[in-house]
Amino acid sequence: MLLNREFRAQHLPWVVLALAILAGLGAWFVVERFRLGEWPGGSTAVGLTLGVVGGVLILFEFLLWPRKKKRAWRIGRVRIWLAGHIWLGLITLPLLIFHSGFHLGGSLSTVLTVLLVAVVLSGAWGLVLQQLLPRRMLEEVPAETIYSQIGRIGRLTRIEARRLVEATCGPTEDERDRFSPDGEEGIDSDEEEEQTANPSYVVVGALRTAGRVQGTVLQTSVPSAPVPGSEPLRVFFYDEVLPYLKSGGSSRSPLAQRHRAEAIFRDLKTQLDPKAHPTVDALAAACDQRRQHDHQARLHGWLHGWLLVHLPMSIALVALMIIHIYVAIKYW
Amino acid sequence: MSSANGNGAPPVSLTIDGRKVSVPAGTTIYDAATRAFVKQAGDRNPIPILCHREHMTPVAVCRVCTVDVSVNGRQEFRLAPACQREVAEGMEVRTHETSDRVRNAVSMLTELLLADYPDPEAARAARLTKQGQSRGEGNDELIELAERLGVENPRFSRSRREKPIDESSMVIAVDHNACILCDRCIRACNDIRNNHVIGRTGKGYKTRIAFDLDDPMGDSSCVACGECMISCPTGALLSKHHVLSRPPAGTVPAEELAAHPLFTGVSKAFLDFNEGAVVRKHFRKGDVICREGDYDATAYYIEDGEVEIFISSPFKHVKNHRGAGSWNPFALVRNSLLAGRGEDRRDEEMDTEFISIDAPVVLRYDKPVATMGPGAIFGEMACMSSYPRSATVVAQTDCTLLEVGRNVLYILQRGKFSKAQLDERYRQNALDNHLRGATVFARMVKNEDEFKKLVEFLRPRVDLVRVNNGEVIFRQGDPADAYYLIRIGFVKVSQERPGGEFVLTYFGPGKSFGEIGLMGHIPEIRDLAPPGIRTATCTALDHVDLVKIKGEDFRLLLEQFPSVQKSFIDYAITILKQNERMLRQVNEDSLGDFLQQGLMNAQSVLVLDLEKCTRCDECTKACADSHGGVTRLIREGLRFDRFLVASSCRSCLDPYCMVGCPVNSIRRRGSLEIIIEDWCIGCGKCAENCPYGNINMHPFPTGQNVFDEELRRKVPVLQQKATTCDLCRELDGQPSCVYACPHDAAHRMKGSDLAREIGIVATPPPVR
Repeated sequence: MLLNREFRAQHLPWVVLALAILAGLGAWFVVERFRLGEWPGGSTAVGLTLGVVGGVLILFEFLLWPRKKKRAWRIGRVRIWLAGHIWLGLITLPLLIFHSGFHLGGSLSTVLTVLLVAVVLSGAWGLVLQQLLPRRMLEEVPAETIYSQIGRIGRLTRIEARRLVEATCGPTEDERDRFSPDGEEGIDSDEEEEQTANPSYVVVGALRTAGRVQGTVLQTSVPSAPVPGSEPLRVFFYDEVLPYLKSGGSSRSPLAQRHRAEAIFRDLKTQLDPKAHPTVDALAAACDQRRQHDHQARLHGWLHGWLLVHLPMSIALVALMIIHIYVAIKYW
Repeated sequence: MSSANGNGAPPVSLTIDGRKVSVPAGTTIYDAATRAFVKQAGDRNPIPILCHREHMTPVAVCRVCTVDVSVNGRQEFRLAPACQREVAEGMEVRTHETSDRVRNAVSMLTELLLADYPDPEAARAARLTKQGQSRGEGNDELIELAERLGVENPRFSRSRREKPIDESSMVIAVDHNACILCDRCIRACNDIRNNHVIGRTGKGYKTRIAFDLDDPMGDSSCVACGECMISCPTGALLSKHHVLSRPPAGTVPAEELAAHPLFTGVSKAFLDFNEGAVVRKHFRKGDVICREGDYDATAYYIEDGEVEIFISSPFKHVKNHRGAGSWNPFALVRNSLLAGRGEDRRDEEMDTEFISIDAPVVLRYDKPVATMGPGAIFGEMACMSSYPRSATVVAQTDCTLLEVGRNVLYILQRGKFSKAQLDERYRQNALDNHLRGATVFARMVKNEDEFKKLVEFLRPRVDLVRVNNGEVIFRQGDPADAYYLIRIGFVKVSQERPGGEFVLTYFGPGKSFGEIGLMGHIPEIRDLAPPGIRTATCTALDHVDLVKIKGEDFRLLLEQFPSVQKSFIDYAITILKQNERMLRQVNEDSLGDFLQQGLMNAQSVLVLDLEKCTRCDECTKACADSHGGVTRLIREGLRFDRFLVASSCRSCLDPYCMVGCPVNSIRRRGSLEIIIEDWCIGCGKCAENCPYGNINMHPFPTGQNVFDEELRRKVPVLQQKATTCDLCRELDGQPSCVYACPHDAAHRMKGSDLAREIGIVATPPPVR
């Protein structure tokens, strides 16, 4: 969630509430410190209150997860929940540290404290990433697409690129064999066919089920006849471009670096008839798209990766907190 | 050309060759003569024409239609071109048959034209032997005119400059020597068919017609529709007969068609050229003639036997509901299913009892089956405007049908005699069905006796008018003079607003318009709309056939049928209030670039702020969760600055998706969002029409099973239905995509508000 000047309306009430809770309970805690001559522990009135409030807040924080899963439920906008999650979550750490009286205690409470710190820090880290990465993605990945569709778009691009090279270089006898060993085209067409062959139902009406997204259309002029002397293009495509389009950066291809890719494509053009240059440009664009999609995948990983830490640890925290409450009440 | 727009002025009386005739003001002398002298096929207009045809805009370049005109007893000094000169009260017209002055002038013109024409006898003989077609047997209008006037070999010598003959086209040969530059082919190509291939090139004696940028006809963008060939008065454009491959089986020969009553008055040359465009088909009882949703550009004429026409798709809409056994008061949606009117009644749902289809019958909502017999024509809209078939037709008995192609149907609807015949068939056989399907007459239908009286009242009072694609039927502010029912095609209803045109709605077959301006004498309407004035502009979007009821007849109708009057008042008040509500919602800004993307047109566009959006896809998932697992938005689309306009229904000001629905099952609510009615046949036309890809087709279980021969077991039948963003109105009116966004990145806004956000337009100063 982006914290900027616009956040006042939905965040301010939560900020005020969080600060009020922190200030009120903090002041009480300090007063008790001076009255008792030492930091009050968890079993004192103020310590217990801090523990109860902290526990309730952790449970509220945890409820964001099921809230986000139940998207059609009308129990408050998720952004309001998230704003509360951020600001109330931030004060759970000081409240529960006050609750502990600045002592780690036994092994369970020590683990709880560590988990709490880790959860709050991972959440804060996620919040920081959310301030930075969406903007970076906007600026650095103009070819951004839906993350889950990157693979499919990559497959379509590879097929288009191959057709373009075929049209420019003309077909060769062993071309199919060279393209087929990895089963690439076979997989693409099989996937489609598998879905349409032998359906276990009859559909009545028009069968267009996906929306049409309109936008800038890449138009490449395809030569009407093969361009003589374009064999280097074919070799380059199968040796360099296709592996890169398929595996991206993990192919260790020089095409993964923009400057090197530009130089390579420039060199390739010098070996080819000018009629084949639009094809080279199209291949360069396909590689650029692959680079951008790799970059998008990396940024996407960072943007959502922290949840792999935050969420499991939150679950563990809630589970251990319940055990802690049970143990505390039982042995009080 | 018949015009939809009359001016309501009193008729004009004049005399042509001593025969009195009374015609509406604005009629040309030639059209008045047609009305006075041509009563049946074979009758001849005393005024000859070469550069003009009834369906063309007159240009008066050949002047063979010149007539002698006297107004109020004073003879005019100059002869007037009858094709262009409008009639006047008390006018006396003398044609070449009664005036020597005119006869001399026309004879001289004809002689001059013949002087530049190849040797008439040789040309005719050459054409007869070379082409073996009927064009030379009397269809050469110049030769015919010369014979009519007794003009023999011209006294003037022929130009020695030989012009080329273009044989590059596979179907039409162009002999520039025979061309008299009447421009009929040019207007036929450009005005009638909108192909814009033929023009003129060169100057003086070198002037000739040309194709595209003076390309040979065969290399040009000519689509070989044949309109130029049938328009040419001299045979300069000739059919290369029998060049094409064998005509399809069942083709009815041109000779037989020419004798067929349906084709009365259609040129035999045209029927020859279009050999194969009319095919006789025999169907056995139970055979499927056509299926709903199919695209075939033909119409059918029933010669013999009976057919059954029906919509087989279930009359149900997509309903999102909680599902059985739901305990959770917060869970608004569990699944999407098909539900009929009995199971789920939606707000603002129309009380439609009859569904208009592309046939001379209507279908009942509760029993969508009807029968048609000999003489009926169906599928005209699918044929003329390439819309999907609106219903399935099955032979009820062994029957014989003529399958008619677009070219031929077009000529049938245009020809004076064939059109008159079709119109009479409509009056006698289809008018009552058409009125049943019209919303405003719904109340009358319940009282059969009164409805019959209504049909009998209207039968002699209706005129059928044809309006071409793009033609304005009437404009906002024009005096109201008639009421219209749409028989075929679609009409755009729009208003001029300070920010540009605002489309109020699109009307399809079975709908009517033009009543508000005629109801100014009724106090309830006078309070809401200016009396006697059109409140909106109506424009034809394709080939539109209208049933026109004159203003005075309409008022008489209201007077004689109080229940119809009440129905019209209720309807007009609803429409006027709905329009007012919609207009209030419309932001009156407009911007060129933004308009190009269709965004200024948007009333509720889903905008994602990409600086805030973490690409978590919660919006898409929420949409799917709210609509039974089927998302109605895709998080991809146009980007403006940092905003992504997601692919989701924008509730456009100009809802193009509504055009072309063969069963009129898509419309806009007063609150602007699109609603799909129960009788959607799943043809996908709306999804195809939406320029933004925001209407999707999804299959829903119908509860029926059919036996699959290949699988050797019963399989469920899924019905495709169109789905689009309903702004979650069926839930609680808060779009789930926005409600579920955790990062405050998803917003619904007007296109003009988005324009302000990205700084295309300045934010208006706050009102103090």
